[in-house]
Amino acid sequence: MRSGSAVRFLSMSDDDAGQLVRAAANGDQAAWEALVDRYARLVYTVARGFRLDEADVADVSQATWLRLVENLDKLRDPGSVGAWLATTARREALALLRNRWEVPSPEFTRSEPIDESQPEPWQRLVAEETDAELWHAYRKLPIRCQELLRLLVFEPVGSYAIAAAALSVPIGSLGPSRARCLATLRALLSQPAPQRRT
Amino acid sequence: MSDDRLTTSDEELLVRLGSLLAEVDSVPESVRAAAVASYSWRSPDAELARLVESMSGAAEVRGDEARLLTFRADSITIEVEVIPVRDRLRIVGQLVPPQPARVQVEQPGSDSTVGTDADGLGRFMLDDTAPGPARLVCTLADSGPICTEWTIL
Repeated sequence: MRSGSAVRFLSMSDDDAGQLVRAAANGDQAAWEALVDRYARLVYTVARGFRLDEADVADVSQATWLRLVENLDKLRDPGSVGAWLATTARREALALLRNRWEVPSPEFTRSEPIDESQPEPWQRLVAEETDAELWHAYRKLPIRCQELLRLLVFEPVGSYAIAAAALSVPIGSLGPSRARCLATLRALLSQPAPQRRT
Repeated sequence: MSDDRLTTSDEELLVRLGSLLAEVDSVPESVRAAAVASYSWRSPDAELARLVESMSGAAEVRGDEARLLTFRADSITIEVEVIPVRDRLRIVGQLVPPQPARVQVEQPGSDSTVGTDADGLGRFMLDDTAPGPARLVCTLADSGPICTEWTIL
């Protein structure tokens, strides 16, 4: 029996999401807040995947939610609101980058590979030894792998459509990519631990 | 998903990574609050003018950092030029077909709504707009309000 995953990452079916969208379109504030609870992290994570500062990330997130408000009764497939949000956040982020004259291509808009000489801002969050090792290995993955896994851990079940929308890649490529990224992560984890800064 | 089913160890690894990233990627409270508050901008009765064209830094035309945005609804097209003035924005617009209208700029970060009247030729100007998500609301003489799509200015 597997433990943990189903509890931590409660998955919402398309039907549930579609019902929330329809309820919110009819004025149900609680349904709107349930949508925010469910997808705020997805929108924020997609926005964070680009080279934007915190204020811009906040603007992309807010613009994405405002766009959903104005489209609540216009979505062709309310059940796919997660993928719609991921696509919209990605477009808003790219539009913002274009406006800054930083005409982006996917290779250059992702966050940069970690500079090992810099202290990691997340280090305080990963105090436990095993977490620290996992985090260290994760940050050594190719950027595309980091982004892919970051999006896939939201919902182990059924999140392919959302991840494909967020990354703008064919849905069929995600399974093989995930297998490859996990294999790389596992290989990195089995390497001797790097020298610690303590 | 049948041909790439996760092994148990893969799943465990993903769950561990999920716990880790849930902390790293936690959403700031202000960002979450803004998402919740977005709902108060619901305006189901307004007609939506879609952004159909966005040109940044039309240097060959203007030689400055202006953006040209075109929003289109069934009955009207709203063309605006967004010009940075220090750390604020000036919005110069044109309604097509030309007609008088009340034009307001709405921003979720701002308490007050700034508005102006388009002249008989459909021209209007809004000064001193803050950068960030915004929309224009046009009220024409003979119809309900028309809102542009939310756009990050």
